Amino acid sequence: MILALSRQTVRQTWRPYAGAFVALACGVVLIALTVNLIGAVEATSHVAGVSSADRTQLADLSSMFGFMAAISLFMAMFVVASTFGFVVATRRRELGMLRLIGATPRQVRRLILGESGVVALAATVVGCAAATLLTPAALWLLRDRGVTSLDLHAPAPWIAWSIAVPCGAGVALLGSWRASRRAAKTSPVAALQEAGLERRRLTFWQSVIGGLCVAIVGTVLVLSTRIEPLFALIVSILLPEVIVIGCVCFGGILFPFLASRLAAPFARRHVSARLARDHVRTAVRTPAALAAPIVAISSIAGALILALSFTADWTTALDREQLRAPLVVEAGSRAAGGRRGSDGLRRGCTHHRSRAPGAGRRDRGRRGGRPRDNRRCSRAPRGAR
Amino acid sequence: MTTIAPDQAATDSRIAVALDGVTRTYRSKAGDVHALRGITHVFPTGSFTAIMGPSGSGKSTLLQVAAGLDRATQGQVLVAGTPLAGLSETDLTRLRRTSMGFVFQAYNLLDALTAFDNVALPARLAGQRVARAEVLAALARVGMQDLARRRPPELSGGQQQRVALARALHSRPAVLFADEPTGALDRTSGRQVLEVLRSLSDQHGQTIVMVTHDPLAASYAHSVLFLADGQIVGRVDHADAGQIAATMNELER
Repeated sequence: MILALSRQTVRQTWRPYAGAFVALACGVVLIALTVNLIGAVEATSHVAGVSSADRTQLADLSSMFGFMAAISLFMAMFVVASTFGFVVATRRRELGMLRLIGATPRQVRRLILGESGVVALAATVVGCAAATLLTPAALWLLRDRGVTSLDLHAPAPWIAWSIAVPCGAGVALLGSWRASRRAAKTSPVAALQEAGLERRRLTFWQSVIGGLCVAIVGTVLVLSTRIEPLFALIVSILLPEVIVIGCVCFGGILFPFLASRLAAPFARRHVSARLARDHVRTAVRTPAALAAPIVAISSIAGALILALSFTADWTTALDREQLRAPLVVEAGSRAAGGRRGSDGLRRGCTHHRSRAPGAGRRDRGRRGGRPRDNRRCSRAPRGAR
Repeated sequence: MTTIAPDQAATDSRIAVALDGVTRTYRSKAGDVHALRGITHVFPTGSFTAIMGPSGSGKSTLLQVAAGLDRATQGQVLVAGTPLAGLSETDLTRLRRTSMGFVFQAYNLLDALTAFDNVALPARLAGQRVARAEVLAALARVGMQDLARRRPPELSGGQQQRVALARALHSRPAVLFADEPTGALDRTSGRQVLEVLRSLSDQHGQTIVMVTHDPLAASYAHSVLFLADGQIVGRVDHADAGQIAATMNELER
């Protein structure tokens, strides 16, 4: 009965759930694609004739997709949590009415969890279908763009489905868990109240988790100059998640405060801005629910871009360091037959060379391993050595 | 003030709701607010009672305490012979399902459900089988059988109120609580709803407790209780709107 009511509610008032549906569907697509790629890599790496370098490359590729899928599921959880937080906050009167006409707190909770289940079901069906259709295209793209030269074959689709569906359902359930608990606490009197002033009081667990996040961030900042570069890279990827969780814990106080401060210059000029600011300041849950996924997306995406750019710089610097050569000898040039100097080298075939950034990577990417210039030097006439 | 013997109220089927020395005090920074100051009253089965009084007189608090939506600070409340004190939230919910119906000023229905499903909802929440004929009969009693498939946004305010009445009647509650049921309606729609309420009481023996500030609405009731400062300060039986308005004016003086 409650599930039927959940289904009807989502079907009739689908707009608020659209964000959660899109986020979940994207997460499911990425998870299913990852599973398919890992399956394809696993099957291909056991084929005879695949070198260990190819296997490493394929494993790295799987790791990258796995990481992207994990981040997207984390984001999806935030979007689902904020969607359902918003839905519960705006349906306070309706939930109160349900309680009044005989719904127990458990039934109200099941209603909200059922709604998230309905959204999850639609998102996983769409996500799995899209992933199954996209997998051949993704495999073709990997080969076409030169990421791998191997011919990858997609595994049976049910393997990806069997992993992506529980992931999508789990994320939906976890995301809506808190909102469903809040919904279950709705008093029947809420049905009789025109409007309720929302209180900005932190719960015990919000205070504990938020405080813990602040402590972690503070500790990392203090120790930031002493940590190893590789560890710093991992921290730079994980720390934004901690900051986001902290922001969400204190969101009921933080976001309305920030929003009202940001709106202050406009509120003096226009009555609409003043109304919007006052609404944001008093209706705590709406700005908190809206801000949470935006903060999560912007901070995590920003941190990832920064971490990746640092990694790229780091790799380039390492390549430069490794491939710097005081002398480069090229064979076959006109100068190669020049005069012999007092140090035994032919002056005409040698020149100091500082390599351009990226040259090392290009050379290293070639199969066979050795850089081009070294090979050229090895082919140089014996007398030139 | 008379005292009701709990045993008598619990066993007497002629008593739908009994309030015995009920007080309700709210604590605030400015001090204690006494919303109800010792209310003792019996709502007999089949009676239609209107509760009137100026703003802040405790009308809504009385309705909420009588329906178990708010706890009395002192005193006892019995609905259909069951004392509300000591009942858990789930037990109170079950009692509301079986013994109470509610109609408010507006927003009584779920927009996602049809009129039929809204009427059947309390029974479904209670895990009971829903007989289609009974739901349609409840809708027919309020003249809404032809619009059973419509959703609330497709109905007028008066029609929505009548569907809410049908929902309350379908579960055959011991008492129907109505809080300003005509407050958001035009005069014609309001009169239709009040006529339905009166006929339910007269023809089907439905007990109704209605809070209102409108003397015309109160004139449809068998008796009118007047509240001021959290106390019952007057009562008139079978009075017309003029008499009720005159009594209200005297009280507000």
